[in-house]
Amino acid sequence: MNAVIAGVGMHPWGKWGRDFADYGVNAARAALADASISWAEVDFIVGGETVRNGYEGYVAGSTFARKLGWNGARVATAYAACATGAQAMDLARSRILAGQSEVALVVGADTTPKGFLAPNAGERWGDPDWLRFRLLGMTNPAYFALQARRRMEVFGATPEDFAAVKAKNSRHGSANPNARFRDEYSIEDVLASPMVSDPLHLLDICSTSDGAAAVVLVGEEYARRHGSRSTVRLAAISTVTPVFPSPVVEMPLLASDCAGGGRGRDGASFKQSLATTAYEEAGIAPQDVDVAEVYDLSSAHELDWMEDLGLCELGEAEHLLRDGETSIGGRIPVNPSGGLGSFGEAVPAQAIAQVCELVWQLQGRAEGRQVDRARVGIAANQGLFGHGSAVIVSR
Amino acid sequence: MLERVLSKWYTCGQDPKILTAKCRQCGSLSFPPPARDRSACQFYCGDPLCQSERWDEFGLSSRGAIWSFTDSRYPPPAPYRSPDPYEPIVIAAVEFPEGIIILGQVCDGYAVSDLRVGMPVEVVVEPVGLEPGETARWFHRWRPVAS
Repeated sequence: MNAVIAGVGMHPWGKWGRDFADYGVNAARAALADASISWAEVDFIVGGETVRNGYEGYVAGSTFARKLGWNGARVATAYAACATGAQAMDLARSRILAGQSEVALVVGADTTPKGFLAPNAGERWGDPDWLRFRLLGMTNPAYFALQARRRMEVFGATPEDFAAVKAKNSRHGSANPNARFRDEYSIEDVLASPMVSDPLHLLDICSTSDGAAAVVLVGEEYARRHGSRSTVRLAAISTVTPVFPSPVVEMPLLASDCAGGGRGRDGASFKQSLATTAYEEAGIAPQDVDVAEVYDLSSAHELDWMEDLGLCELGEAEHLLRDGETSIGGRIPVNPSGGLGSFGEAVPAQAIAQVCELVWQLQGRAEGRQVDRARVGIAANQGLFGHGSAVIVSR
Repeated sequence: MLERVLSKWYTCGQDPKILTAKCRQCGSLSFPPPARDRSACQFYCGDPLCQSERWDEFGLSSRGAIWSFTDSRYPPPAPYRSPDPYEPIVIAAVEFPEGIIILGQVCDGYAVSDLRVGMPVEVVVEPVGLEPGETARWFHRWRPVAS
């Protein structure tokens, strides 16, 4: 028994300045149309919460249901920072697999402010997210840069490699009508952009965007009965937390874990744990993956994720990149959508947007950026404090 | 409030040390240490196989080694209090011999180009973010030392 992704839809990402719910409803209607399912048939709606848009955002599931027109569906709202969409899809899938729902609609949308993401107002001396800004001035890009520098030290990555990730993803994204940034950038363009947090330049770092994405999930029985055109299955959603002691300082913490008994920091990272569990759940191995959408908050992140997802051995990601193996046409194309580098962060929408792209890839509908004969796709996402998500779809 | 929180994070004086909470049962270290405030929920060891509630204050070695480093070329948003004019802050993740990595700013006068992974640094505790009329606030920084 699996959940079938009957339809997907997005609102193009940009900096439109409109209400997040408008984008969400737009994406939801596109996904319903794609599934040839009417809103009236939906019996469960899950919204990805946005924390920057007042109460309509806190109760996003209800907000989308109201804006689509109250239809009596059950409702839920999920929040997990950038992994929000995966937890929302997991709720929908669980209800479908339990036989408590036949048609579920999952929607995430955001309207974001310009510039660095900052903590909520107030003084919270026990909140690491507040403390890291107040005491250290640790922005998100500074955390990204610490990992990037570490990668340079341990695996010999270079700023040119990071720039090459951006160049590749901008080439992919130039063909994506939903992407916010459609210009192609060269390695030289990236290296010539202002340094934000050494070694990362402005063009290495994703911006914040407005945007929305939605998926319609149905049970296999319902799909058969209604002659669903889509045969793409949601094969795994992994939201596992890591096992103590986590080996690195996860954003926004001030320190790493450190176990007693001389074990120090010998645990798997949350990203490795997520991937391992997703593969087990889907009953496949990393070698079976044809296409990956990974969370390139910075260009350097993409290289880490490739290894965390087992798409290559530790330290090999740069080599695959340099050989063109992660471009469309290569052995394992990564971020054919253009990734966050081309989209920007719209926090509650992005894990859903990754699944939209994988579905289009598996259905052969990714015009201008199609990965040849894609049958299995994986998406990965990072939340905060060391948690996140991995999703596998297959046909 | 800041005084109350941060005074439990360090020992001051000639040889300042960062204070961690050391689990009395399994020896795990955590930073920042919990406030010794009887009204607040207290320490629980982060190891799920331990979960002890008993801990001791444990001062780390006064030196560690840079694990990674970066800077912030643009002023961070509030609640960080950037001086005007802004000088890029330099940040390092420092690994202590005890096995824990802690983030901190590098002392004034150093740039990213002065640092490398593995470089030894010593802990200094100095006033930060002073504004007119405020009492001193103390926070740790890293000072590179000749290896």
